[in-house]
Amino acid sequence: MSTHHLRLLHAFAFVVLSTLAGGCTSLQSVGVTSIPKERGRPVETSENNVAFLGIHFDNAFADEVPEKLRQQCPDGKITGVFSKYESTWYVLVQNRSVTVKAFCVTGEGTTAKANTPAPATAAPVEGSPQGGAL
Amino acid sequence: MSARWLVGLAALALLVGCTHSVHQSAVGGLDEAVPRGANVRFIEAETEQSVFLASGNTDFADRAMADLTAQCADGRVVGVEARHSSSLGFLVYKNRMRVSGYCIEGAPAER
Repeated sequence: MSTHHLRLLHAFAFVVLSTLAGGCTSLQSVGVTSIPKERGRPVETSENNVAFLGIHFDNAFADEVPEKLRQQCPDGKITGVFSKYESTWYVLVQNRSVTVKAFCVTGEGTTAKANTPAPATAAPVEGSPQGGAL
Repeated sequence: MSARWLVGLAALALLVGCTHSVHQSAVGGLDEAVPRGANVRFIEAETEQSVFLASGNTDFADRAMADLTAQCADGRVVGVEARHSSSLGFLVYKNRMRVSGYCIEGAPAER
């Protein structure tokens, strides 16, 4: 290989490496729901998870996303949800990210209860040590 | 046909971008009722992202949704479909997001 070709190869390798070092982002999936007429209160949250070589040990990083949205809309209903899951590679490190954008709609019939379901209470079982009348 | 011809055809195909793929099609809001007397019209938006080797963000998806929403400023959008696809070329590719839906306007108590 001549010196000229070697220089070209090095230049190409530099371009590729510098591009990849800046992050290679790809969209993995999106989710959509109907979009409301009332869009005065947009809400947004995001969670991400970084791992060396893309070896992740769990998928729980996005579990808090719904609760974070609810906290931004305690007195209304969250609709018009647009969610996306993307991953970005920085050479040897991968970052996974879930971003959710939505609208908080307040008004009749959209109270806090709409977004915060009451905890389920198990009915007492007759004959069991914890059940029955106290 | 010689091997040189085959290589030439393959190179040409790569240069003009011969590979197109749909990665995902998501649908939502189909269970919404359309009020009697409402004005319903089909709307759609499409955005592109030209990429050389690697892309740095996925903003094209957000822009598509924002464009769709802007087309129905006085109503709600139901039956939303989002299609993510890409077209590959030689060292470059294009990401595309096409979103569509039905804009419902002129109905009382819309939500």
